[in-house]
Amino acid sequence: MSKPKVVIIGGGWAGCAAAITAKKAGADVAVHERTDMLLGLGNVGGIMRNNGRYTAAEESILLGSYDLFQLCDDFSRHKNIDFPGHKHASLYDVNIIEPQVTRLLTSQGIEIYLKSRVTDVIKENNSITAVKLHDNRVITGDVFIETTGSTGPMGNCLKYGNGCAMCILRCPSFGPRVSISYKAGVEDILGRRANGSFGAFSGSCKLNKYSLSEELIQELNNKGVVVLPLPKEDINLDKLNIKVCQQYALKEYAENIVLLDTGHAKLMAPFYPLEKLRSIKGFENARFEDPYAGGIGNSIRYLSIAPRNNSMKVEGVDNLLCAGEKGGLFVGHTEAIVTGSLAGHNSVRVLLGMPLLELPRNLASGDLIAYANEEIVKEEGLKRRYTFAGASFFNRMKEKGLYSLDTNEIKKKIERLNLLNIYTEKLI
Amino acid sequence: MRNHKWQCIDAGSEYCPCYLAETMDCITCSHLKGKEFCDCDWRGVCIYQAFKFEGNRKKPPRVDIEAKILQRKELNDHIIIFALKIPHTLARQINQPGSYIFIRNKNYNQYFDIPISIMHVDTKNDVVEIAVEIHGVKTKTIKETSDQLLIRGPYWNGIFGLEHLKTTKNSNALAIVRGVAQAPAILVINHLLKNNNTVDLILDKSTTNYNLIKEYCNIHAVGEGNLYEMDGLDLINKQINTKKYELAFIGASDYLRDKIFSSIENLKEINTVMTNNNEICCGEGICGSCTVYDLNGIPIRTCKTQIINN
Repeated sequence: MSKPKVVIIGGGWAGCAAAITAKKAGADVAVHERTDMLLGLGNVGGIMRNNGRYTAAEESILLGSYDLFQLCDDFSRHKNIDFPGHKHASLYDVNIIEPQVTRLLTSQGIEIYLKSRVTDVIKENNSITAVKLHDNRVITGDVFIETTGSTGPMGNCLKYGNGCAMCILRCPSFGPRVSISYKAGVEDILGRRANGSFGAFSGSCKLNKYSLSEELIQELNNKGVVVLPLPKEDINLDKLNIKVCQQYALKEYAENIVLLDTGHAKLMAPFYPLEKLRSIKGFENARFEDPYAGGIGNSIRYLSIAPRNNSMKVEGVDNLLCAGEKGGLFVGHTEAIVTGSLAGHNSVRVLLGMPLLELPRNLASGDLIAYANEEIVKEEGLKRRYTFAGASFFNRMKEKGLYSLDTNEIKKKIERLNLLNIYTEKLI
Repeated sequence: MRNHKWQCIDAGSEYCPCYLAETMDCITCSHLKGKEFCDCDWRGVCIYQAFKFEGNRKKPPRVDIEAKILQRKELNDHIIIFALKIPHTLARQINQPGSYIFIRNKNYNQYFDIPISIMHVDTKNDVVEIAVEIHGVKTKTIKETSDQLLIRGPYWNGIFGLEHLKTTKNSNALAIVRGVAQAPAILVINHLLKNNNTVDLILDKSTTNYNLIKEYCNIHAVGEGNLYEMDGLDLINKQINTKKYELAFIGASDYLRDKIFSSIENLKEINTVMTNNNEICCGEGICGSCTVYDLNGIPIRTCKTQIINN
């Protein structure tokens, strides 16, 4: 008898994490990714281990999902740096991480199908039996994990933003994201901005580092971070309301230009008119790396979230799980890996009819997953974002004693909970 | 789960977005059907973006132009072949399988527009040839024209199964053609030949009594007969068992097509390309005369919608 097959739709951080834990639990795993690269928005991200993400990363490693965090650590350009509102961050090099992730997954025997866009599902009763690809091929599976994210495509970025700004997701080239849970008959949940409108702008854009002045390049290479006060007339506090990354929606980010060295110069603003940017000393030759039209806009996110339980199983479909932004108003790679790892592990439990794993709420990871689910049903909750790195959840972590930089302490807790290396247990 | 399988032939062309975007009836884009979020049949372009960039307006639609009749040949008392001088761009646009234009006698108004398949295009000299069968109210008005015709185009949805047609290479194809459907068959067969396919033709000349395909494609029929008779159907049956065919083209009425399908079991295994025989009147998805209904009762305007069957 062939092994049961877990089909993962979307090869971003969440999908990759799910693939690894599903494989560790013993399933055959195939990842279908729409574009020609894994990691999705992770190809332009880079920030790890800042604030509560440190704790969450350590928790995941101890639970047995260590591979991707180790890789990010190995390929960090800077470690343990501080920038406004954030401490002990690591910045992985976005220009070289993706092929490493591909090699890692391949070496573990995970099948990766690139340029493979899932457009529909085939259902029998309450289960998905197969998904359909853009070219009408049918991919059968036993359990499915949707990690398609919630960003774009072009029509959404136009209706709820400033139009397609040509971001790394490259919808015009590879075709749009399709909400698989919606195709399976489950209505999407939509995030909102402070003013109630749908979606939110991606929170940062990336400049080509070598288009900046020699001084800025050096400072970025040496310190990993540059903070430059903005001219008074350029300060726009309203911009903070539109971005997804509420952990960076701080006054400091409106009054200063904050650059981080992720290989690109990550500019902590959703977009920045190019002429204005070029009028600032050191930015005279600046050009955008992502989105290419970062002078006019950025991608729009949170337009497609699936209702799910705290084991990441989608409500209303028997064999569909979700993770990453598809699973809640989450921000960040760490959040994607944490939710993805749980979804991947639980996919095998779904296969075997075992009780699904929920992470206990005295772990930061468990509390984030459960808290985001409590909040998403509230109108105000739809306007908030949930991340270990800031906004309201990091405060909550501190209040509840969930924030720790002490790996031994975290390990003891996980041992006490009898969850040490749970993701490495072979279930099949 | 999505059951429908149809695609707008005009999506992404210089005629997109069209009237249907303005009325929020776009075949492709969910936003332009009045929905809040993206859920489109992606055709390589974002029609919503194109529409917004046009200032919420359609692109300029096709208009009537006068085309000089260079040659007029009556094959018999009810089939006329016209050679028309047309603009170079139009010649390029219609030189592909499934293309059609509207023609009419300039002394009549637009109710008399007749959709006519493109038979052959000379893109060097910008001449198009069409075969018109005179048999109804509209076509009778063409019989008296000799100097010029009003034409409107390009339109492309004269054939269903274009996706199969365009992806078939280095294979065997069987063409089953009756009567004046030889005209659209010519671009189909030439396209298949160009892609290194072998094309076997079974021809029913019907009342045309003329082998146009031999003249324009330089291939001989492997069999000829009346497809409404058992002998004709036997021809197909025998031929289909001689080799493995990847694609079948059927140029015939819907009635005959269904008859062929129900008689010849093996045909169901082969990708099929067929003529669009619906009553096309405006070509723009507006008038509704070409509407068919899919399994879910959803109307499909076939003048511009490819029905994908596989």
